[in-house]
Amino acid sequence: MGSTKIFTVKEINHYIKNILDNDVILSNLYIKGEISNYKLHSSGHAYFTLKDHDSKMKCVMFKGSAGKLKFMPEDGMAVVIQGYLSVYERDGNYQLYATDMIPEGIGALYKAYEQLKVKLAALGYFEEATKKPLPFLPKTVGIVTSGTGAAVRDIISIIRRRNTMVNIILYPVQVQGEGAAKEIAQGIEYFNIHNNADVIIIGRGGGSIEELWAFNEEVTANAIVHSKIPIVSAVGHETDFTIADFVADLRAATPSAAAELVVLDKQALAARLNQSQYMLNNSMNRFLQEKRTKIEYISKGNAFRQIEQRIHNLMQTVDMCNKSMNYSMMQIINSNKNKLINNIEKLDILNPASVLLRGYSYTSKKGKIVTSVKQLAVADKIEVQFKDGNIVAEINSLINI
Amino acid sequence: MNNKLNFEEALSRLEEIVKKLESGNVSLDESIEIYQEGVALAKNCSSMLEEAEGKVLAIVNKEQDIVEEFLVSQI
Repeated sequence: MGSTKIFTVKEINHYIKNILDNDVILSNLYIKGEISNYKLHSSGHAYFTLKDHDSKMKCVMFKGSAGKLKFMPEDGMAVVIQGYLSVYERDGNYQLYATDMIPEGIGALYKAYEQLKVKLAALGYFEEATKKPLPFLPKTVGIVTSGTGAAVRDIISIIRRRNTMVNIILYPVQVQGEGAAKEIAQGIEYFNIHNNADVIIIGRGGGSIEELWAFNEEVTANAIVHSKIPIVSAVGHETDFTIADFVADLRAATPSAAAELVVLDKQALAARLNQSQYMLNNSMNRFLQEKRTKIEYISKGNAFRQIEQRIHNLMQTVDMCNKSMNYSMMQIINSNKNKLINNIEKLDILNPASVLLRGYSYTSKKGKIVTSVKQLAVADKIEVQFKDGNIVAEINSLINI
Repeated sequence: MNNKLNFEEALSRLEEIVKKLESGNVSLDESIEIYQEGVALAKNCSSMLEEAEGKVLAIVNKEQDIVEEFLVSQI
C-alpha cells in the first residue's frame, strides 16, 4: 500500500460528483416515477423520494424551481421530472436535483387548476351565499383587462350602446404572462381603494389554458373574494371555466355577455318607466272610477231607497190626514148647516104669522095672549089678530066648551 | 325628498305606488298624495335617463392615478 494514494472520503465524493456532473445523460434528464414521502420545508425547498416498483431515488427541488410549480406535488402522484443527478457530498448520497415537474397523464396546469379549486372550495370561496348582488344600474363600471384587444373594445362598445348614462373606468393590465395575476389583483384593489366603481368586470378574450392562467391563480382569487365591489368574471369563451369565474359574484360567458349583464339597456329602462307612468295614471283613474261607482251604488242602494220611501209614505200620510181633516171639517160644517136649516124650518112652522096665513087668528087682552076662555069675562075688550090686521071686539057671552 | 333618490330607488318607489293604487287599499287623500308623488318620480326618472351622459376613462398612470379619456376607436 506504500505507493498507493490514499483518498479522503471527501475527495472520493467530490470525484464521483464530478463524474456525474459531467455525464451527458445525467446532467440533464427526464425521469418518471411516483412521488413518495414528499416534504416541503419551511425554507421553500422540497424533499421527496421518486420511486417505481423496484427502485427508489432521493430527490430535492430547490425553492427557485419548487415555487414556480403551478400545482402542489403530492405523495402517490405520477410525475415526470426534469433535472440532473449529483452528489450531496456531506452525506455521500447521490440524488436527483429536480428543476421542473409535470404530472403524468394530465397537464400540470390542469392539475394545478383542480388543486386550487379544491382548496378554495374548502375556504368557502365559491359559496353562493357570499356572492354580492350586482347593482341595478351602476353609475360607474370598472374594467380590469388588457387595454388593447377585442375584450375591452367589446365591453365598452356594448355598455355605450346599451346605456350612455354609465361611466367606465378602465384599469389596463397584462392578462397573460409573468405578473399578470398580480396586476389583475392590483386592478381589483385599485377600485376598492378608490371606491370609484359600482361593479367591476375582469376578463380577457379566449386563449389556451396557459394564456388564461392568470385567472386561475390564487392571488387573483383572493383579490376577487376580498373585493367589496361586486365582480363579474368574463374569461375567454363560453366553454372556458376559470377559478376567477367560480369566485366572482357572477360569471359571464364572454366579455360581451359581461357588459350586457352589468348594464341595463336604456331603451328597456325607458319602456319600464313608461309602463309605470301609464299604469300610474291608469290605476289612479280606475281608483277614482271605483269610488264614483261605489257612491252611485250606495246612493241607489236599499238604505237610501228606504229613506226615500219613508219620506214618500210620510208625505202620503200627511196628504191623507189633510184630506180626512178637510172631509171631517166639511161634515161638521154640513151637519151644522142642516141643523140650522131644520131649526129655521121649525121656526117657520112656529111663526105665528104663518098660522095666521092659514086662516087662524089669535086673541089677546091688554097685550096678553088669551089661551083659555077662563081668562075672559063678558064685556071684556079683546083684540083679535089676523094675518093682515087686527080688530077690537067686546065679549057678548062666554060659552064653556 | 324625491330628488335624493337615485334612478333605481325612484323607479322602484314609482312601481310601489302603482301597486298600491292598483290595490285600491288607500284613502282618497292618500291616493291623491301618492299619485302626485308618482308623477314627480316619473318625471325625475325620465330626466335622469335623458340628461346623464357617462364618460369613458382609462388609468394611464397607476402610481399617480392619472386618468385620461379612453377612445375605443383607438384600439
